[in-house]
Amino acid sequence: MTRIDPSELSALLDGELTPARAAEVRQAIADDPALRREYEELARLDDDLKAHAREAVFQPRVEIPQRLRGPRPHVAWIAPLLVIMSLALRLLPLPIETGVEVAVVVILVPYVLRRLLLASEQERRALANEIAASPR
Amino acid sequence: MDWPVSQRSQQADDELHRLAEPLLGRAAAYAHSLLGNREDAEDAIQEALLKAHRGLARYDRSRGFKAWWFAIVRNCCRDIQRSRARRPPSIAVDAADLPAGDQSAWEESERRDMLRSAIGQLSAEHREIIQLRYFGDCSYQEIATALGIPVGTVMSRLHAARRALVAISEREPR
Repeated sequence: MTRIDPSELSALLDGELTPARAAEVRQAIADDPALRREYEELARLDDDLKAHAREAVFQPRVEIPQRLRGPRPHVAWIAPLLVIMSLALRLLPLPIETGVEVAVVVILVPYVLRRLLLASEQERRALANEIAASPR
Repeated sequence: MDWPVSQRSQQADDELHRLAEPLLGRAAAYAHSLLGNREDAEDAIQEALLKAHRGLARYDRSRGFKAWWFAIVRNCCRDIQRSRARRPPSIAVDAADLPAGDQSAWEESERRDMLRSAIGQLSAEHREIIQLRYFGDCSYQEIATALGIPVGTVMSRLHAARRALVAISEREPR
């Protein structure tokens, strides 16, 4: 008769044995009434626990995090851009005095707009999740 | 002007969505079994999502997302337990979860109460492994990774936990 470690009864229930070992354990259960009783007891408990756990599943009201920052301009673009803006400042009659001010306007305005768009998208998703979850 | 951007963070968002979304229900059940109420469970899952989002680049893909994810959920639940200075409850249930009405529903509810009470009487080690196996629907390998123990220990501990549950159920008056 094959020697069975008691924990292999649990492993058989859980489908964690190799097919060859599972066949040996099944044979041992068939041959030994005491082992069969124990296996059936464990199987009943397993059914109850699985049913209990299935009933406990619920969809949590959570938000899967999205990127909170918008895409950043690639660093390599910033230096040439500043040079162009400095030249533009010299050539064009702009009502601002320094290249730094131009840079602030040109970089910050698209950045802020993008952040606002991302924030509104996050709020929209959160609201949609809330609505989806509310009839529980 | 369209900025050239790194696609990495977008890919991380997509990956987290793809990997975590199918596991949210089980993670919620697991967190609920640890914390005893939905509100705390949802807080734990939200915190776990944030941690997973921040740490996604660091997780070991060879060990599978699920084990990593449940380890994070477990840690977040522990943080909540610590911060609220609560003893881990037995598998509590919200009143709204209980079925109402006919006899079979009542019997079912009583059977679940007994099971819940039995799980609550297990040692912390046994309760933990039952919760990961059933509420988290984790395999032996996933439990081993989440708890940092060998697979053989998972097998023997899970069996011992089941034997303990059977013994408790036999002691309890029906």
